[in-house]
Amino acid sequence: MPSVLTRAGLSLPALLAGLVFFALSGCGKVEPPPASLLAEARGDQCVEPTDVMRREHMQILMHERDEAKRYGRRNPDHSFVGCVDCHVSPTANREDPSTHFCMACHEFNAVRMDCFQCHTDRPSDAAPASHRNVDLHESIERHLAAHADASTNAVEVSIP
Amino acid sequence: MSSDNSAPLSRRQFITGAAAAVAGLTIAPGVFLLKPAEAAQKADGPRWGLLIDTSKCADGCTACVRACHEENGVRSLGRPETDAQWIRKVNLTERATGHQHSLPVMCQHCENPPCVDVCPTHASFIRPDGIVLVDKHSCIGCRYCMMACPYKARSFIHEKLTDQKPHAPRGKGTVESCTLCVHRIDRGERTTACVEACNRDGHKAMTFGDLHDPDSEISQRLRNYGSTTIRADLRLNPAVRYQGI
Ligand code: SF4
Ligand code: SF4
Repeated sequence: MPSVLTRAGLSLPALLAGLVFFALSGCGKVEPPPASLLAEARGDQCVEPTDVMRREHMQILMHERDEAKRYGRRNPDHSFVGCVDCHVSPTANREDPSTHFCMACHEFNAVRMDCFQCHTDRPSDAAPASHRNVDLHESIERHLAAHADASTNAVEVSIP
Repeated sequence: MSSDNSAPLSRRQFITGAAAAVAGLTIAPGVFLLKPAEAAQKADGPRWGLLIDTSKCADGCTACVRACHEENGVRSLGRPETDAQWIRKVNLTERATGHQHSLPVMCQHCENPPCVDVCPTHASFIRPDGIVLVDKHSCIGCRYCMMACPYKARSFIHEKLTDQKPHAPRGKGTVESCTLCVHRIDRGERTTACVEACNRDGHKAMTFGDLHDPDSEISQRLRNYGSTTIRADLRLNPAVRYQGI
């Protein structure tokens, strides 16, 4: 191996320095995926400059979520729901990341995030989709019917 | 967290009344009034609560339960044993007289919540305005809080969920319960989905309001007509109060 390197005119220290430089140059950088993968935001302007959002959106969300959740001090400019409402199209589907603003970039940069395990991945105006509410009513009626003949002393009727 | 601002009492202090020196009033040797220190501290902010008049709550009516679960996107997965329940209707029959009650039970938003005491990650917490919530970012799903809650108010989510409401994130592996419609309160609304539904159906059995504001409707009703809480003996001082039970 050393003989190959010396033949190519490289010394080991120079190679190591090069490796370190290469590794560091990747730190703190976010590569935006090709424009074709990023859906247009629906608002006129983002709440912060694009490069700030690209670099720091996670800190902004993380820092302010405790304020919002624990004290009810909510900043509408930095709300998670606000991001999704503006950036995600009502027809987006996170199973197909190319249609979903957040997922497209995260997929491209190979950064896994858990937000959508609990938060809805769709904007507010997409949530009351008709077939969903029909499901909900059906599920409530089913549950009510299951408890209709209860006749004990203390009965719990619950309809999730 | 309640432990931050409630006066810690040792068992001995409590029994001997030594605590009275800290935050109470000795009436006679061994008899003392205990006033939680935090009540005084928090009195300047609101404390949200509910008053439920069970004499107006109709047997068989489930408007509040429907409204809550629709509002928060809680739906049945077809498995009643594990389906989440944020609020349920409980029918009670007094054995001696045969008198029947029907009443809704949800998280009682205790002032001294045992679910907060036991949580190992501080995920279960009480807001300064008295609303008890689970911070799902730090909930590890151990379910200690479910065992500690005397009202069976909490549910564990066993399965992957989709189509949550934007204001009510919910997910597998975490515990959840009634939020007192905190999203509405933070938007400045002064009612909850259950109260709204009960009024809409004309029963008017529930009142929402600020327990710390002496002029609020709920405070006036509480002052004029009295109330009780479920399992008052536990001294958790719930923000959900009942009349007629
Ligand atoms: S009712 Fe249960 S879940 Fe609600 S605050 Fe009290 S102990 Fe906690
Ligand atoms: S299930 Fe979650 S909220 Fe409940 S005690 Fe465990 S960590 Fe805390």
